[in-house]
Amino acid sequence: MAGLSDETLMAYADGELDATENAAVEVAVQQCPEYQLKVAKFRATRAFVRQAFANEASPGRVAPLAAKIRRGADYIPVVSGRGAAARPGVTGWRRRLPAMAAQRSWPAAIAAGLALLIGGGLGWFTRGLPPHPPASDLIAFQEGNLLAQGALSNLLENASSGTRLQVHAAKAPAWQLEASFSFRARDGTLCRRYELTNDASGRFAGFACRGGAGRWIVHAQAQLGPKPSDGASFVPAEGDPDAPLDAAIRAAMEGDMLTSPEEAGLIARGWSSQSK
Amino acid sequence: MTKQRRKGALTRRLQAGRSSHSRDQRLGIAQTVARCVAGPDDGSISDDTFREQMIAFLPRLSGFALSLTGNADQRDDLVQETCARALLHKDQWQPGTRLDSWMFRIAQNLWLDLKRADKYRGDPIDIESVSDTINCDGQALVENRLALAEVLRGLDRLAPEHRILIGLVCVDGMTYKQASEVLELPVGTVMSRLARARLALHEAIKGTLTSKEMRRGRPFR
Repeated sequence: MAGLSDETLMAYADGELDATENAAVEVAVQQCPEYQLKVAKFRATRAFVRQAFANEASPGRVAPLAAKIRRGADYIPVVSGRGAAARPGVTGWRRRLPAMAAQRSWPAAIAAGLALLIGGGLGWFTRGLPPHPPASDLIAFQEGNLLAQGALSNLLENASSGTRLQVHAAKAPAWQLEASFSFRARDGTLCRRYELTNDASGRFAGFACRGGAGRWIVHAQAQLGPKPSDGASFVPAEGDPDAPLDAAIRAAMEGDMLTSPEEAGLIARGWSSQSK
Repeated sequence: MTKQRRKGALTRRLQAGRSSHSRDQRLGIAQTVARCVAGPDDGSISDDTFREQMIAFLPRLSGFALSLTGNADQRDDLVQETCARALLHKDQWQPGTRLDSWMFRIAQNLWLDLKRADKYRGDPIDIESVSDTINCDGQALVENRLALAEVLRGLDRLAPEHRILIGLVCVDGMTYKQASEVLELPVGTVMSRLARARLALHEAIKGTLTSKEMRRGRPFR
């Protein structure tokens, strides 16, 4: 069998030939060192590429985006109209993220997000704190830490991700609380992202980690932009308000976002980890 | 049999759906396809179902996007914009067809648009940022990062259409027929481009391929 094309040799190397053709090509390859070398090149290249990318398809890497998709398209900077190329800035907002994501210490990553409220004994800024009075029922500064209170503490302790609840207060707009997802932090603690929304104060998101005695310590919280009413509307790329919080969570997160069964098990055990 | 006739017969067989995947891979793909086509009898699917299918596909999309952009932050941009496009144009996807093929097509079109607009040119490859996966085996992790950086450097030398095919077939593991569906090209075109792409990539990375890897690739001792 002479004159085998590169395409045929590649299909042979990839196992894309049927049995009859495969047998015929195999005989030809056995008799020709040149074919053998080419088949080896096709195989080695594919195997090397697959191996090199083996760790890239990790669900944890896309966990923050998955959470955004779950809670609505309006959280994603959407390119509409003539295409991404027409919007020079649209890909720019993430360029600042890798540097932050590469930082392995929480304080450094969190400090990089100027709009973040910082807890855990690092000092804090009120800019990220919901200013409306009922917020004090949700987060309070105690003994050097910002702690989730009342309904927020209950939500984090007991509700599965995706759960929303409303907290009504006299003479004030209700707060809507939502648990986004759970993850294990690099220091082994268990943490959850949450969101707080209030018609008067706006939208806030943060993450809290479970300390001793069932206390949820708020490590970072950021004020987000107003929620667009139309999912197709364009969110300015450079000003994506989620980005610093995403970076802080990425820097804090160990491995993947917890799955629903893992989270359910932890809630059932009062957040006591069997493996620890 | 002439070379041309052999190639034609081969192409027809491939178009008939021969698969290069192992049994487990085929099972996984079948399950993915089943998930993708699952939905109410009227052919439509709920918004939540659509989003969950997208989420299940994100890790694969992320790998493909890295093979195109060669850079971690641009990968994130591309994945995010692909998802935004998919959500925006959800009504253009036909339930019952492969969601992964549709989203890969969106991603490669977006990347080509951005590349033409010169947005993705000349960014250095950052070995630290290409993979931050936690790995207990430190040596394996370093070797993996180096291998990935080397492959990304090699991909940078390829023509865009060749790079896309490496991403679909070598990174994602698609068959030639599946890749031809994503690109809406004849299988024969996919094969000739892919063969050229792989030989060019081999030339670019051959210094990194150890003799062991070449032996593993070699069919005969």
